[in-house]
Amino acid sequence: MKNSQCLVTPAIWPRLRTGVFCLAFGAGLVQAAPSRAVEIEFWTNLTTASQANVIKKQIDSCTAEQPDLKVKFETVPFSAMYTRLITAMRNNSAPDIMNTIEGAVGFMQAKKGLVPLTDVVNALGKDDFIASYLSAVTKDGQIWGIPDWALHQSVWYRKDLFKEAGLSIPKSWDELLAAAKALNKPAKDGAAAQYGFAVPMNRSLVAPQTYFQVFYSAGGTIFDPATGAYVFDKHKDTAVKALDFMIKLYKEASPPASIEWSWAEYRTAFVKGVVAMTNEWGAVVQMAAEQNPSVMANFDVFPFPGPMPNKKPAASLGGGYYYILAKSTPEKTEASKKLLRCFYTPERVAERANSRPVFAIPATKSAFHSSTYQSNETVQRFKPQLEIIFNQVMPSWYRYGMEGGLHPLAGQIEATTFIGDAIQSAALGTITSEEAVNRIATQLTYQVELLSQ
Amino acid sequence: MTIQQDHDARVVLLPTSRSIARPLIAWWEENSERRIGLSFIAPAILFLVLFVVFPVFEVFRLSMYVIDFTTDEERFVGIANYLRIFQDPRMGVIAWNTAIWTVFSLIGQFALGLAAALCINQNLPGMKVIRTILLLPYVVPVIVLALFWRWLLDGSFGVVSAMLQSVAVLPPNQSPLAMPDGAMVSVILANIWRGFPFVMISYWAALQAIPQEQYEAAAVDGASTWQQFRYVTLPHLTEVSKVMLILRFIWTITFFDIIWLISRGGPGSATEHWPIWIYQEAMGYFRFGTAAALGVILAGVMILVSAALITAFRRKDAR
Repeated sequence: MKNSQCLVTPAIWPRLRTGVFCLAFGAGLVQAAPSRAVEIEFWTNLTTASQANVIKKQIDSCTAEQPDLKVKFETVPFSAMYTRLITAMRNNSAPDIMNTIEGAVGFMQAKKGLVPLTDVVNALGKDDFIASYLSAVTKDGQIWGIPDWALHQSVWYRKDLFKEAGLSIPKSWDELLAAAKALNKPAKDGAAAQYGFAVPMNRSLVAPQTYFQVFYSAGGTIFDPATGAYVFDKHKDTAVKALDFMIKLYKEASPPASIEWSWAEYRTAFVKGVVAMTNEWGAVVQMAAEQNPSVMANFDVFPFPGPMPNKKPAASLGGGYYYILAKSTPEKTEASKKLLRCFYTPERVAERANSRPVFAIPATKSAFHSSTYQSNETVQRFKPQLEIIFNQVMPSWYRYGMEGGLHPLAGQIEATTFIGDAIQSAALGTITSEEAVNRIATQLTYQVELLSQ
Repeated sequence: MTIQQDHDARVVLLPTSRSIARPLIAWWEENSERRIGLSFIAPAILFLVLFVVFPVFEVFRLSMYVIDFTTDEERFVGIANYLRIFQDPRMGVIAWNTAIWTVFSLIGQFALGLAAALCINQNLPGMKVIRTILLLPYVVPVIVLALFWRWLLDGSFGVVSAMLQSVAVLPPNQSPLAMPDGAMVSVILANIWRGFPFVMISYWAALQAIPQEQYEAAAVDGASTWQQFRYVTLPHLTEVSKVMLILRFIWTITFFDIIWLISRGGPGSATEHWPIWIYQEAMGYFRFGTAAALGVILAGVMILVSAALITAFRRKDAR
């Protein structure tokens, strides 16, 4: 329209004016094109202020290097995540970048809503990542999430109480049970009772997490890690044995109310001295710092043992936080990848892990060994424990349903309670361990068949 | 409608069309008041269609489909989702839990609500403050209430559990939430505590409307306090009770938050009720068709029970 006007205006001055306008307009267009801002949406499941603030700060720092990028940052609680994701994906408004656990990676990938991030991981240096964290989100030869920091479970215990009872680190289930029983103390002279080991079994999330720690230590898996085939039925004996042991530990050394304990309850019990040992994610450190700092000096850690003495546990239940990219326009995808590359300097990875020290451990070797990470006060204080976790626990872990790589079953196990129901029912004595395992197997088989269709 | 263009390309209505349009035009001209009335209710109708009729229809439609959660593809399966629900071994337990939860919650809320209403109906000093305090459970967010109850019932640090342990009702370090029967009693008590202020305030409003003269007349006739309550107060509370019973029944049977936040439906399946089942099917297994079918069944039960209650009320009134 403007071009034709430029050509047909007859008089010289109007023509000149129009020419100047056309030039200015054209120049404006030329200038406007590269300055077109890309706006991306960024969700994280980390609602703890200290963690969310570090991510926000890093977004600000990285967007300063990408002036054309605008980031809308939002914290989405884990409890509302699947609901929000389903709704967002139906509306084609899924977040461009999401910081979440592997269950959600499996869910989004199954919905064909993710962009593979193999190229970003390779560019960052694949060998720098701890292999187990990459294999958990690998499917069809592609890596679908970038590991950020590690979730890890091991046994946290009180050194002083072990010393007092003359106990050494348990190397088998029997030794663990014996140590737990030795640490039981009845209530006496106004002092509260002390229990040897917390076995939390809240039906939502916690019971499966406790159970699979025992099950994995004995070598059981839902899927074959090598072939990806469903093998839970083949591991039924191991599953029954693991559940029997867990219930025995609960009945002989755990507070009776722990059948419905969630994270807050068993951590409080450990920090307040109600229990002497607990299978834990490392969050007790921060909780003790806030509620009972004097006890922290007596904290120590060992990997959850396997069933046999002098034989290492086969694996542990772990997990991790990842960054994933939802399918979007090429501009948004490129901008998001650029932002993620900026996020993965060793210092920034370490900063994010340090926002909840010990609970979060960097999933890259460079970040773990960086001065930023190692100079953190809490990290320095728990250096020997972190070395044990980093070297002995983190290299061999599984997440239920993801032993053979990325699978949406993990998300379903997390969002439902069928495993917790069966475990609690067995612990209450309303069904046997074998019946509980059969119930779990039936539901797992049904879900796996449904998902494979 | 028959439409034709004349030689000037104007659209004209043929006589047939005019004959159809004429009564409409006549109605339009003759019913100006109705038109105004319709225009007033149109937004409400539109709102109802959008936010009530359509979702209800959609849930009913979804209940006959299986939806692939990975592709969102829908496959018609007829009544298969319903059959699956009725064949599910958990159905009996969950239906029983739902009935226990609803019936005992209602009994508790009505008993406590009536007692509290009779108390706050007295003109005593400080009653305004007491009324406000008694209303608090209804205005406190459910999450706060649930955490408060969990803390009260904690086996190691909870005040209520400690009291029960000290009188040997519970073993040491045990919590009612860790025992199947105790968990159901606990969540029902929490729900009674949450819901009784609504009943209280409704009864109190009804009590305020009872003419004082009736009590004076009863007293002159020599009626005792109990007789005054039985023959003056209770009859005046009948109408409000009917409405509240139906409303509270619907709200209680569908109330999800408090159980989920306190017990997650456990231990075992001891406190798992119908709304938790729906939630798990939809947001856990992503089986939206089954969840919709469960919703339709629950709606059917609510309609049947409400209809039975209304019929019973009418029969009683007729007598």
